[in-house]
Amino acid sequence: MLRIEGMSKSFGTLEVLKDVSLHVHKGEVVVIIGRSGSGKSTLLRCVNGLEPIDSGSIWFESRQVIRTPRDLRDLRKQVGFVFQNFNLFPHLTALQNVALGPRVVKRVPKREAESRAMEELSRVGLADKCDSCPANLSGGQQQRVAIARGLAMDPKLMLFDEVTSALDPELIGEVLKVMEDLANSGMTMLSVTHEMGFARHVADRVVFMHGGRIEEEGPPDQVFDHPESPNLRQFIGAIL
Amino acid sequence: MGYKLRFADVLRYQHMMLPGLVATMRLSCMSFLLGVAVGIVGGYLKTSDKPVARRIAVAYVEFIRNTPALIQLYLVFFGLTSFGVWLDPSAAAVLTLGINCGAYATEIVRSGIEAVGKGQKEAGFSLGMSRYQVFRYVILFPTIKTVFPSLGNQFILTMLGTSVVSQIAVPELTYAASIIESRTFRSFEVYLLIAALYLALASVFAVAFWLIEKAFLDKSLRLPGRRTGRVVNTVDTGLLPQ
Amino acid sequence: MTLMLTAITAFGGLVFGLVLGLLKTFPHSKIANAIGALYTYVFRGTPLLLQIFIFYFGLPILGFDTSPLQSVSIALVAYSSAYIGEILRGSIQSIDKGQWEASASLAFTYWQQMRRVILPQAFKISIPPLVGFLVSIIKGTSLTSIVGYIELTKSGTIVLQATYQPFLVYAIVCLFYFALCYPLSLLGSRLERRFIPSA
Repeated sequence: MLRIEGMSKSFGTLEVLKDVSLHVHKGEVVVIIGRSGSGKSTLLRCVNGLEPIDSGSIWFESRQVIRTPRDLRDLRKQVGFVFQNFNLFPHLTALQNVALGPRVVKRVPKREAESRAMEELSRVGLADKCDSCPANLSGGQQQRVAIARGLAMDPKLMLFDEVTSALDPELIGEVLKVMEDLANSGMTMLSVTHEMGFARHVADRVVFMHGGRIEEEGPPDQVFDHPESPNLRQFIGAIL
Repeated sequence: MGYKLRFADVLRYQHMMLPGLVATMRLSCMSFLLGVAVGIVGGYLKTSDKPVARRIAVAYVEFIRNTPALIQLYLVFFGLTSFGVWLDPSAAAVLTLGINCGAYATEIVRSGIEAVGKGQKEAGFSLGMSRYQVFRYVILFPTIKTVFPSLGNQFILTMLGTSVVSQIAVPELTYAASIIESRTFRSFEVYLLIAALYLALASVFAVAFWLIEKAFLDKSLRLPGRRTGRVVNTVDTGLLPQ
Repeated sequence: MTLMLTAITAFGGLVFGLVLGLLKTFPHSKIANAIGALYTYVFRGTPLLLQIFIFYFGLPILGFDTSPLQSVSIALVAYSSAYIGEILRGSIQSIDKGQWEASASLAFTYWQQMRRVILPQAFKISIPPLVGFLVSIIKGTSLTSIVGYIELTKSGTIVLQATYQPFLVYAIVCLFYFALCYPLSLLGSRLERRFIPSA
């Protein structure tokens, strides 16, 4: 479904992504791991166009993504993004946050959008908080609302950018549970995370990035139990 | 639009504009200096421990900020005559504008003082300094450094505000404009031109303040060895992380 | 009279101030930004009194048949939009970048982002400074007395000619303005304090 070919990106003189290529197939759950600064978040942000790429190409469902506003918007209607610091809209309730996308972008009438929003909120376990504002929700709850907000657009692919890194430890579990359920329901997911447990149990494929390149990838068991690259071995040794 | 702009008629009276400009500058400077002096006192009072001092400062600031400058001017120039005090227009102007500027300066200084932070004050006290000494040697200098841009802005506002004193016949720029207007009847061109002059003045000062800030900010890293500087130096280094 | 002038200025200023604020923050056109910046520069760098003169005397000369109220209102609105535009610009730019990114990720267009996400938040943040500026508008209306427009200050001078008690008359006028402005100032500070905890 998603094909990245030869993607490179620099911020000024700092080369953050070096000729990265990656495929994600329908229904696959791909988890990207690696050190801070290895380029994993940048990779994700380039996929949905939040950052422009310097060279290479991105293909979504056999169509190349051209960097025009319309093309990007079309892409974003099918690719959902969940941020590390949630970025919920503070002036709206949880329900309104989730319903806003469909209402404004897909012109769905208010009632229909809101009932769909309720569905998604129930899916993430927050139906009772539909009228709460983000300020009144815990970090874990806010992140789940953010996930619901992305899901309400009926995406074909969901991107998760270190979505648990800003959460207190006891709140991480509820978010990971939602992501696991999502994976089991067949959603195609590309996730950057430090949660190795999640990677091991939920991912179909784990990708290890180091210094802007993909150094190793494969099924979780292979990557975690039989790492080949020395960097990966060092990384696992430090983490686990 | 059957009207033709004739700036030449107005420019013939250039010789009147220059004195007006100079007068405006003098007015602005004097009022501003008075205002800053009042502002420092006011800022000190507003951050004082004594509720009485605070209340006086608050009353002063609120009264000035919630009434139009024009009325304040009338009150001073015309109003005081009820008590037998007849002021020269320029004097009344400087007095009024100075008091007016002082209220805003008080707020600016106050925020600067509050930005200095408790730690500095406490360090000063631990050295055995009195309230006044702490204010003068520890707080004042960093405060001025912090609020310098705001004060610069306030100067420009004061300068623009001098235009209202034209109403009590103080011979400044706006007054010159109305004289020229009564001679040439070209009101539109006159006022447009004078407005441009104000704009030019404001711009010049904006740039000047920006330049002074650059020079000043760098200089402050090397404090003078005078008694004042040394005390501040000691207190500062005492608290800086090594 | 004063109140009506204030109201007209406030509404007009908000509308044009919004236009200005949007112009100045529009990311795709440096020309728009420049126009906005230039307008602000001119109207904030010249005295309000002169602006009133220019519009009051100038508009009829240029062939527009405007009533005193209209001329004076236009001057005040022009002046206010510069300040309000600047307030709004500051608020818009202070909105966390994440809000832009989140709405972009939901495939919003620029105008959808502005209307649904950014502006609602920017307005909320702007309310304390806007209330403060309302006080300035009220004070500004006093200058219209100089071109003969009848409002609070002018009424004062008229009364003065009858009573010859300058201090009393002007003190009362002062108190009237104070009564109008002070409550607004208090409201402004209270609103400002309320926003700081939720920031």
